[in-house]
Amino acid sequence: MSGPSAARALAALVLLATRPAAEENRAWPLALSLRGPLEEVVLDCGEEGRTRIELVLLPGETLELVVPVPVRPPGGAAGLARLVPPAVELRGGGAAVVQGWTLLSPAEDWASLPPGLRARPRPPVPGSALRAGAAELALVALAFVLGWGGRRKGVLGPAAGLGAGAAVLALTLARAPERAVVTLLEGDLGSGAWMAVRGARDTLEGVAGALERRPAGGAIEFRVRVEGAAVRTAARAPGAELFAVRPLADPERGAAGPFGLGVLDASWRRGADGRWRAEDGEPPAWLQSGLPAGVEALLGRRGPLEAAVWLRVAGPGAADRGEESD
Amino acid sequence: MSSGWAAVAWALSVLPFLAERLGGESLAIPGASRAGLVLLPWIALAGLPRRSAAPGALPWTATTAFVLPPLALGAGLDILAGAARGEVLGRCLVGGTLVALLALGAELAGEAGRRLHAVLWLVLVPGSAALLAALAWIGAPGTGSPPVLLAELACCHPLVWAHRAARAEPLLGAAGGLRPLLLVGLLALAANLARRLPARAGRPG
Repeated sequence: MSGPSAARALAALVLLATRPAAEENRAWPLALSLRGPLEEVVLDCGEEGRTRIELVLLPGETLELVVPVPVRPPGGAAGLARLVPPAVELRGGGAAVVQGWTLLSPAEDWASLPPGLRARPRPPVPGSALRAGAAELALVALAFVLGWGGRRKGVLGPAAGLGAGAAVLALTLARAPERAVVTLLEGDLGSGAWMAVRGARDTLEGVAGALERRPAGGAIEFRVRVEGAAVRTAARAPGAELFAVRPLADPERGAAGPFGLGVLDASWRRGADGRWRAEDGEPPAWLQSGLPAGVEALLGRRGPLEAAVWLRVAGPGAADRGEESD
Repeated sequence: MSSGWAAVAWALSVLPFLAERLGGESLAIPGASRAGLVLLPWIALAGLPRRSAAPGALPWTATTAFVLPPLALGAGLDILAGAARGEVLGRCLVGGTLVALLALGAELAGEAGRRLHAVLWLVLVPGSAALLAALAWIGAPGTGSPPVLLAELACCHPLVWAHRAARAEPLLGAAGGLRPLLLVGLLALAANLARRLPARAGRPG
């Protein structure tokens, strides 16, 4: 290979290696036929995770169900046909037949969204990563010291271990788990497309449509609860950030505020010249990122900071629509 | 297990918590089960064969007691992160019992069964784990999954079970933990028998 060719190949490799990972859907719908008696069905996808379906099906009762499965088909939807269906484990003695992969409904299909809108950066997830507290670690260390002192004194060591174990568990579970969810409504007035992004750490309830995991790869567990006609789906990936992304149909139908998305508590408007209006102040840096240059933009927040719904709209006339909320 | 190895195992089991706390998200292992991470060094080291004269050896009850506080911390964090309580409890019960049985086997072997226990432990725990890993790499290039026979053998292995537990993989409920428990139980039983056999053989008449 000549010098310039080698340099070009190396540059291409470097570009590939440093390019941010493209968004990847991890919730692919799989159709199942279930026959009771069944209490639990687990679709095992190995290292990619699993889908756990909790339900009560009586003997002879049948149910057709479409559930998300956390596989990673090469090339997206086109690669689904080449995937081996997940292994099925049952509890209850009934039967489960995998009917095959299905398509996301139009209301959930993020592939229909413009690439520019889909590629906008995801919002920062509130709360910090779950980690051991100082008090818990101190108790674990104290238990070790006590156990070390009593390691050859009959029941003293085991008793210290048992007692400390119970105390550590109680202390850890007494913490209120952080379940903060961030919601961002994205709009592109040029194409008229909208999408809603919901993000949370570790666990995200009410998953519909596509699901992204950050960092990419890794395992995800879907927990699907079937209660009568209601089907509730939650995704879990300890230590990771999860984002549910779905198209937002016709937001203009709402009641008040710009685009019918509610009255904004704070808003920031940018002209086509790229300057933010002085009277609005400076918007949060993360909310500004990913906006296309040379077009008007409206950013906003609805609700208090800890439970806010954010708005990020770009396109002709966006700044003027923001004045509706003033 | 000697007191020194118990201290090493304890330090290794607490290390992930300290790394997460001091190093932040850059040192965290996303998607891992913290209870599983605690169990991994204990299952690897609890059954270490003892030396002929082992003044610092811990009774199996003390070894198991050292596991409990970090295991409880890991279990609590797993539950807070959204793991099902039953699944975490099952993982802790199987893992704790594996540690206890491995430590019990080393203790039961005593002086007379020490050599046999050492050979069995070396073959069944670290040796076969290394063999399984090597065969899986050779047997399944590019596919990422081992042949069926190896996969079945791996299901019985305590270290493979611990590895799967640390990765928060599905453990197939009680059946998933039953096979490694059976294997480690047989190891303890063999150690106990090996200790008694020479004593019977040495009896007069």
